[in-house]
Amino acid sequence: MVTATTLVGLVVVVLVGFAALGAWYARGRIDTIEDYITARNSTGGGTLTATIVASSMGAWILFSPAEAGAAFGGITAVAGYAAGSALALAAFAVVGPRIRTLLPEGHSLTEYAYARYGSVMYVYVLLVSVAYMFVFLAAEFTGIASALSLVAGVPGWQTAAVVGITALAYTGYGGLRASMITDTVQTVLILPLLIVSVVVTLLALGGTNAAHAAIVDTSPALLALDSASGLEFGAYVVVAVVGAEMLNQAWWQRVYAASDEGTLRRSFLVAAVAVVPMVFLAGVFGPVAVGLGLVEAPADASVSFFLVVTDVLPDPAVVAVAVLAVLLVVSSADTLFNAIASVVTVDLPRVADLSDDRLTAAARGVTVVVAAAATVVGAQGYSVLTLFLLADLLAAATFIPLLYGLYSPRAWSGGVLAASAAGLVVGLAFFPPARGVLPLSALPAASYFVSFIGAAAVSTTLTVVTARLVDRRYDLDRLGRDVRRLDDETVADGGDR
Amino acid sequence: MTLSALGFALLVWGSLALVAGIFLYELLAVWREFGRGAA
Repeated sequence: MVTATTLVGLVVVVLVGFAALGAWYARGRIDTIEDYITARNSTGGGTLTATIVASSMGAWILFSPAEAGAAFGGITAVAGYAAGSALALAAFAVVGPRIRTLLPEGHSLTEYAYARYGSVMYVYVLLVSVAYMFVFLAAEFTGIASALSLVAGVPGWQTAAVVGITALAYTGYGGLRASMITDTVQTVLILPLLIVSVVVTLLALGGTNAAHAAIVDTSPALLALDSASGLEFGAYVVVAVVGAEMLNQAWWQRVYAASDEGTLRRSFLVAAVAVVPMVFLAGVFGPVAVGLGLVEAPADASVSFFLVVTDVLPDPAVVAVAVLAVLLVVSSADTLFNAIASVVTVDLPRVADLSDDRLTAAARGVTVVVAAAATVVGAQGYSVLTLFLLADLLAAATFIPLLYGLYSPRAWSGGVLAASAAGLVVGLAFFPPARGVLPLSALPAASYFVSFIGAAAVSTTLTVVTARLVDRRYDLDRLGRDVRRLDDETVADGGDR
Repeated sequence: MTLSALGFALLVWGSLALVAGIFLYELLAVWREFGRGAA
C-alpha cells in the first residue's frame, strides 16, 4: 500500500507547482476588479475549452457516475449522467451568446436576476446559486479526503488542508486568470491520466471482455439498456444537472471571458463532447466493481472506482490515479472559490461605495472565507448527498423561470417567482428525504424522478402561463443599460419590472 | 436488452479514443494560442 507520507508529499509538490504557475501568470495582469473576476473577452478557444472541461470535471466524476452505475440502474444511469453533464455545457453554447448580447458588460447571474426581475428574485437566485456552488465545493473536498484515505490512509484534514491552502494561494492572488491558466495545464494532464488509468485497469482485469463477463456473471441487470430504474435515473439526473449548472456562476464568468461569441459557442460545445466519454469511462467502474464482488455494502457503491483501482493496480498506478483525483478536485475548487467570490463582490457596490482596490480586496477576502469553510467542512467527512440533491432541486425549479427572462419581454417578477415557488412545492412534495420531516404521507410515493421532473415542468409551465396572462412588456435592451462594468461609476440598477 | 460484450468494448474503447482525440485537439489549440501570445 502507498504510504500516506509519500502520497501527501507528492500531492504537495504537484499543488505547489500549480500555485506557482497561477501566481506567476497572474502577476501584473490584475489591475482592476474586472481582471480579477471577469477577464472579459480575453480567452481563446483552447484555453476556454480547457478551463470548462477542468472546472466541470471535478472529483465527482470518480464517485457519482460509478455509484450510479453500481446502485442506480447500471449502464443507462451512467449514460444519463454523461448526457446531463454534456447538455448543461451545450446549453451555454446557446444561452451564452444571448447573455453577452443583452448584458455586454455584465458579470454574474445574480446581477442579471436583479436587473431583470428585482430584489426578491435576486435574493432567491443568490441563495440557490451560492448554496449549490458551496455544496459542490464541500462535496469535492469530502470526496478527495475519502479517496486519499482509502488508497493511502491519509487523514481527511491533511488532504483538505493541502488542497484548500494551495488552491487558495493562487486563486486568492490571481483570481479568474490564475484559475483559468492552471485549469488549462490541469486539463492537459487530466485527460491522459484518465486514459492511462482506464487502460491499465482494463488490461489488469483481462480486457473489456473479461470485465463484461464479470458483470454478466454477477449482475447482468447493470448492462440492461432498457432498465426502468436506469432510464428513470438518467432522466431526472439530466434535469438536476442542467438546472444546477445553469445557476453555476463559473459558467457565466467563462461566457464573458471568451474572446468572442464564436469562441464561446465552440468551446462549450467541444467541452460538452469531451465530458461524455469522461463520465462514461468513470461510470463503467461501478458495474465493474459489482462484477468483481467489491461492492459489499451500499456505501461501497460511491467509491467503486477506487475499490477497483486499489484491487487490481500496482502502487505506482494507484498513485497516478490519486494525483488524477487531486487534479480533478483542485481544478474545480479554484473555479468555485472565484465564482462564489465574484457573485458576492459584484453586488457590493449596491450596498457600499467601494473603490476598485477595495472591491478587489473584498473579493480576495471572500475567497479566503470560502476556502476556509470548504476545507473545514471537507475534513469532517459529512455525507452531503442530501444537501446536494436539495440544491439541485432548488435549481431545477428556478432555472427556466430565470432564463426565460432573457428571451421573453413578457416574463415578469411576480410570475417567475410564483412559478419557481410552485415548482419547488411540487418538487419537495415528492422529494424522498422530505418525507422524513414533512407530513406528506397522504401523497403518492415519493421519487426523485417525479420530484425533479415535476419541479421543472411546473415551473416552466407556470412561467409561460403567467407571462401570457399579464400584459406587461419589459424592454430587454434595458439590461445592457442597467448592468455596467464595475470599474465604471454606474452599476446594476433595479427598478420597475 | 443487454449490452453485448462487443457493444461494451466498442463503448469503452470508443470513449477512450474520443478522450484521446479531445486531448490532442486541446494540446494543439493551447499550443497555438500560447505560441501566438509569445510572438
